[in-house]
Amino acid sequence: MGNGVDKAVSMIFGSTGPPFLVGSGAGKAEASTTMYIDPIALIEGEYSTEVATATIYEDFYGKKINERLSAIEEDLRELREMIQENLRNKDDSLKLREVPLGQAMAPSIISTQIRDLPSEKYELKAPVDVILEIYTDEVLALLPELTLCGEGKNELEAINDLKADIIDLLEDLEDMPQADLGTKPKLWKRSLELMVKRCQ
Amino acid sequence: MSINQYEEKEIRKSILNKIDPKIKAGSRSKHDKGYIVLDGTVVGKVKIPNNHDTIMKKKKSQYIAQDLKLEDDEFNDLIDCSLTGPQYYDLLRKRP
Repeated sequence: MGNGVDKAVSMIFGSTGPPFLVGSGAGKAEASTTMYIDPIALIEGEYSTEVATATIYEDFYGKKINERLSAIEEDLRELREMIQENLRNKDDSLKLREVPLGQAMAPSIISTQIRDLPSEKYELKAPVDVILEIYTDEVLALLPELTLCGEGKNELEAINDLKADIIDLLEDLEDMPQADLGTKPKLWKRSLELMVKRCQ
Repeated sequence: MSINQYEEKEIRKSILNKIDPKIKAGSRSKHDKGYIVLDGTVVGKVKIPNNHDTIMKKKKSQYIAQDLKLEDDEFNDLIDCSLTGPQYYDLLRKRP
């Protein structure tokens, strides 16, 4: 093996050389004193098996490759066990959360405004802020001030349901004698009167 | 404690059987509306869920609990049967 090869190996692997550099019996390779063994040639029997087996299983740290392989196999076994354990735990946690998809997923929450009511008798004095909670299977339109909750398969249905709830509440409260209303219903009525006006 | 998950029809049944609100006919929406009357005074409203098997969204349950003036655990008791109708109205009398 010429100096050119040693130089190339040294350039690639540094002064310690690759695992297949065989030192002068010590198993510690130094580029200047090593012989390069081509693994393919070794397999094809170009080198003396005796020489090769005596030295090939020692790497340049002087540690036997068999020992390192055993350590790697041990690490792999531990990793495999850890992964299997994690997968088992994951399965268990998934079983615990077996709830309908629409429930399991957190809703998207956006705010919007309604500007009109589906009635010729009423109209809004100003746009009203509404919260939309969008689930995969249902949409809620919320008006927290009046604890009203419209619902539907989509945003439009939910908002229309909420608008219907607003009119229902207003008309129901107007039908009831003021003296029969408790504190909260009076507050709702007052809020609705500020929010909605009757069309002439 | 937070509100448990219930089917809509379970909540409907408890509201109708225990609270027995005054139902207003002619609702514009898909749900009946009821009013809670305590000693002749209207003290609350409630949107009555339909008779569906679907699990009620937590937010809707919270709104119903709020309308009924119940804490989360009291709402669970109402649906789980341990809070009776008379006990509910006793609770209401103690609430401002």
